[in-house]
Amino acid sequence: MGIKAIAKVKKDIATVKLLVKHPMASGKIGGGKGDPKYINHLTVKYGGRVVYDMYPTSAISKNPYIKFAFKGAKKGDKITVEWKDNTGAGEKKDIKLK
Amino acid sequence: MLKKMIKIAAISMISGTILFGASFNAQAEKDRVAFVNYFLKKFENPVANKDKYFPYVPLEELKKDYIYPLKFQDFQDGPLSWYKPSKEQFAEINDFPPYEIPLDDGEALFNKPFANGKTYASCFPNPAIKQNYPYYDTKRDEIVTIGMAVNECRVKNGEKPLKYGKGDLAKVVAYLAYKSRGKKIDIKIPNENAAKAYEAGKKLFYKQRGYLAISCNECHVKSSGKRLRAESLSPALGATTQMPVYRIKWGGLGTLQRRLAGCVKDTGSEKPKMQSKPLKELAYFLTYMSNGMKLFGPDTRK
Repeated sequence: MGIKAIAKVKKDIATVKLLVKHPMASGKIGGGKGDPKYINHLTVKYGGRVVYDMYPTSAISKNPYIKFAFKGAKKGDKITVEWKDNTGAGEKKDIKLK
Repeated sequence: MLKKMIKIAAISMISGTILFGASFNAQAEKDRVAFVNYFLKKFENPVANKDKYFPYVPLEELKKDYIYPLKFQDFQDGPLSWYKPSKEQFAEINDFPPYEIPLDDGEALFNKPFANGKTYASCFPNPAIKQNYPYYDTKRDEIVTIGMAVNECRVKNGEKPLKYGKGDLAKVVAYLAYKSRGKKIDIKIPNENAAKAYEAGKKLFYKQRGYLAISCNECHVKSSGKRLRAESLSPALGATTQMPVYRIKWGGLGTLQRRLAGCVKDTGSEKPKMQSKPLKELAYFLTYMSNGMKLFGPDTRK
């Protein structure tokens, strides 16, 4: 659905900001009436290890904004963002650390 | 002899309109200059002008939380322009502005061809046009807003018009606004009927109405720079530069008319319908007041 990212490295700490396009619909209210569709697992991997692991529920709002930091990062390397939702849809994207 | 008379009559008519043509916005210009000067003076030095403009705000708060002096272009930030805590909160949010996603959708919608193969670009070959809207169409004798222009483009190409105020229409307007960033607002008053529409909008702005008996002027001119419970009141100057606005409350984009209609309803009046004459006149007046200010849309607000 779309992942936008800003990832910067200072010394060896990377600060990552993600804007994930997803309706995060609970299926119970407003324009989201119908079947629930929300991300239920989001991971970010760096060099084979998981640096961010998140299990959102439908309580998280539409187009979630996620910000986190991790140590041991190097400029020019890449991180892999992957999410899956309750309907089985998913997305994977590589982001370069600047 | 007759030819000469016609010639003289024609010349005098033309010179008459040239002489008086420029004066349709004379009153509006007077209003606008007074409007701008009021805000520039008010926000020049709240600490020194406390007694005149901010008699009930504690001096420590003025010194700690207020940003001053505000220059003309600073008013584009609305409630964030003068209040430090709000500005700091939004600096974090605007690091990764939430309007980016609907703006990308707007760009995709703008470039997607209609059923007949053409795109919006056929109506808007140069998308940097938002600074001219809303404009008074002298032939149709009505105010044309940018929402109307988008829908008229759709209908001209055989598509159904979109619903005003939000959704896909707001996304397309957001793309046009994004392309018009940096352009100075340039609303014109070309004839007498346009001047009448301006005056009608001005009257609405200053009129007390609804069960709160409140006017736009009360909160956004007289009380701009003050707080209403937890909100910092925005000045009316520069109010239209950030449209269509991504409101965190809406979780999406909204046009100027959506915002105005909502505020009219919140102050106790009946919610005006989109593209209704009074709402367009208010938008026309309000945008004219910010003539000369550079656009910065879309932007994020509460």
